[in-house]
Amino acid sequence: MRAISQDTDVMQAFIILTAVVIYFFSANNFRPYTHHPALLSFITILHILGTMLFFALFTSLSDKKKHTHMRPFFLLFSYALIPTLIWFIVNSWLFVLIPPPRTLSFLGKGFSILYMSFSVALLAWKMILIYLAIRYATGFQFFRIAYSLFIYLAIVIPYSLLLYSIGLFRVPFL
Amino acid sequence: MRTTPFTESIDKSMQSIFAIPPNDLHHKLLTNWYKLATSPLKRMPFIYIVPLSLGASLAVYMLFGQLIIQLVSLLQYGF
Repeated sequence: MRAISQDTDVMQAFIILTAVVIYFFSANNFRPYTHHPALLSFITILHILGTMLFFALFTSLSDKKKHTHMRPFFLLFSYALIPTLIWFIVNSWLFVLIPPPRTLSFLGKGFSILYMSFSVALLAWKMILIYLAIRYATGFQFFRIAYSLFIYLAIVIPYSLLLYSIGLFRVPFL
Repeated sequence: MRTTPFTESIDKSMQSIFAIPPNDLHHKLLTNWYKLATSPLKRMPFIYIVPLSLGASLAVYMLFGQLIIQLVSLLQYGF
């Protein structure tokens, strides 16, 4: 992530965002969304840009002398989408190959444990990448990263519940 | 001083390492614990993450039993 923060090739970020758009269109074939996948892709990309802007704004407010460059935010937060993308892709394929609901049989319990460990491992990876993205993009120390994340989650969690209630997303793509 | 490709690469590495100051938790013990906890994650984090997540899932199953199966069914609809 340190090398990515100093990189200049923004095409990498565009490739990752394109993969996100392709995911929404292909997942629509497995189980049709309530809304058009183009709308969901557009809103997801807006959320990602909003996340980058939130932390960039936090940086510029915290350190008024330093000019905030957006390129490290764009690259780092795009790379932090990779665990999310992997989880959603695997989940969509598992929905087709081993459709829910799970049962109380030995195989059902075994699969549930493996699936939870896979989800927890990806969540841990995601948390590490988000921490590193904020660290290298903003230059913040540990406690400032922690409270900026806390403020971010305080906004995102109710917002995600709102999106769920209006039928846009079940699990937010962040 | 004459610059060679080797000195230029050293220079570049030093600049990237010191681009941001090291983490400081404002207390020596906390900073030491932070470095102890994060140093294994800097090389091959999956060596620790995969067994820990498997252990955590088993622990959740032991504690909550059937709830994990309902949670998995819910998450599988989540995409």
